Amino acid sequence: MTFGKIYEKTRIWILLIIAAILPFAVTNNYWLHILNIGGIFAICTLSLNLLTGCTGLFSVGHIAFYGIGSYTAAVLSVKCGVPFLIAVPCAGIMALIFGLVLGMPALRLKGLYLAISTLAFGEIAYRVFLNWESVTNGTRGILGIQAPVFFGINFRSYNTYYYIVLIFLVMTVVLTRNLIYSRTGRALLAIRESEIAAQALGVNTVGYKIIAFAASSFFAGIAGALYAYEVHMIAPESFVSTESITVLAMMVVGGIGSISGSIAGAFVLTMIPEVLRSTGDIRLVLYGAAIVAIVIFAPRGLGGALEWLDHLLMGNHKKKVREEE
Amino acid sequence: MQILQQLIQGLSLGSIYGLVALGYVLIYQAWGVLNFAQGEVCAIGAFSLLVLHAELGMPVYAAMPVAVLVSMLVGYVIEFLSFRPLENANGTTRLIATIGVSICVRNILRMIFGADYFSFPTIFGDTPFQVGELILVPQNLWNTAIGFALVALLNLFLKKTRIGKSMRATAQDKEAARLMGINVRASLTGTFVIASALGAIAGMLIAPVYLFNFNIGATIGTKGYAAAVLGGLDFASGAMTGGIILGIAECLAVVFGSSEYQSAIAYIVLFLVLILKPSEIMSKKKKVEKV
Repeated sequence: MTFGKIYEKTRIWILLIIAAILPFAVTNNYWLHILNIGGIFAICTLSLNLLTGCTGLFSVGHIAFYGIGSYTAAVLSVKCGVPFLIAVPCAGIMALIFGLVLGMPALRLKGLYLAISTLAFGEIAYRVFLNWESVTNGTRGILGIQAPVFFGINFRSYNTYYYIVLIFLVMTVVLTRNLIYSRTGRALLAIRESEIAAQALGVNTVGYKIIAFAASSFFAGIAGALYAYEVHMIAPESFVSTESITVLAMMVVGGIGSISGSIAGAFVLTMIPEVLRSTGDIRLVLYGAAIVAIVIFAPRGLGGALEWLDHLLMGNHKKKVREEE
Repeated sequence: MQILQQLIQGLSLGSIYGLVALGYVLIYQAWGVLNFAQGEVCAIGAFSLLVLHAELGMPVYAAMPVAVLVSMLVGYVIEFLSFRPLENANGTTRLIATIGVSICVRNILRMIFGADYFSFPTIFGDTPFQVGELILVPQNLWNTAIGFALVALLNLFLKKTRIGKSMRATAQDKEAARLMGINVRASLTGTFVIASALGAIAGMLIAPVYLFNFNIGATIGTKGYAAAVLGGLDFASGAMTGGIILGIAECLAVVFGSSEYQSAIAYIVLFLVLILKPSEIMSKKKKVEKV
């Protein structure tokens, strides 16, 4: 048993254990909140990665699905008193329906034209959040979203809610991973590389693109719902199109198509503005500069760096396996 | 009559969107990337004019060229720092770099000017005058005229001058251009700087029409981007058409819908146009895809 072999077998569990004991190490509520937001954005980034990274369908309005999920959960919870475990899947399904509504006609478009239609969709969604007073309360937003309660435990505090986010994040990772490594995932990759070639090989491109849209918007909706329960109040300002760009940046900084990268990208880009908070107004300037720097100096993204580290730690073991193959 | 009024308004707004879109198109043709920082260059134009004209009291006709020069300089710095190092990277990566730049520039403006709204002193007069039942504002008319004049000038420049021709050649095929002895490096930079100048002029023209703050780059940039894609990302002609379609759609939305949904309705029109007449709406080129 070499170190590399042990590492390869245990790395997932070590990571999970570290994630599980993190709230005990971080006692500061503020940082716990940032961690939760990072986790929620990680889910959102993963969902975008499925659509843009794997399938090559460029979306610049992804925050709309996140917002739809958020508002669905908030309205269900506040106005109808629906419990957490029902509201969250409902939010996902609502986002999925809108994903199909956007996806079906948008499938005729390619590249930048698809991008602009998603941009338009995001913009329209934001206006609706802002102006549909009777449901969304307009600029005032929806207040008083109750924290979930399971087995008599109230998940209001950040360190308990952390575990809910963690569970959803792990579920999302497992599901997207399984999807990417399945027949469907290979079909999606084929579409990204060349749609015509995929078609020629008998891939039902329309069907698979719809699957990609549906799955992606579903997870984004879930992330939005989790966000609503994390902050207890939502307003349209959280869903402006700049946020879509932020999610896109998280994906690229993490590395396109990489699962570990998406998670790392989401956490890093959520943390950077907070770490820089002490620097005052200049923090967002540095944030922008940091994105440029990461893109220039780490072209494969954080995911590439993580993979490199992974291979280093696995050491000789991996090489041997390759030689045997 | 109200419709005609709004059409004129839309034409004036649209010609500015067209100018912004033109910046996107020029850079897209030369560099193969949509430059999301283009909106910020417009903002730089507007703010430098504000400082030079309103704060330092320079006369408008002296302040405008200086402001254009400032924006060209900023454009050059942006090109040098974030475009050049990524010349061979893939499209999405470069796109994100431009987004990083736009966040950076926008917040530098925020640091300097705060989040307050500025009302800009009018350049060409804002006392409306009546023609029949139409109410016209000089600023809007001038905006339209300058928009179209600049497009014509640019067309002339690209088609007739040596520099313009080498820029077009570079946009078409870098390798071939290099073989023909064209300085590709200089052409690329030149295109970027000219696009920045166009953006700055658009920013200056729109500033007196809107109340604006540091965020104007994001608003105007999104509109320009939409107009550029709508126009087919071809040279000049399409961008202006796209801009005018968008501008008119926005203004007609006021007539037929509520002003609250103004920008949403513009996007709905955009969305429908894209869905019903998919891809390459204005583009004349027929692409042959090879596998």
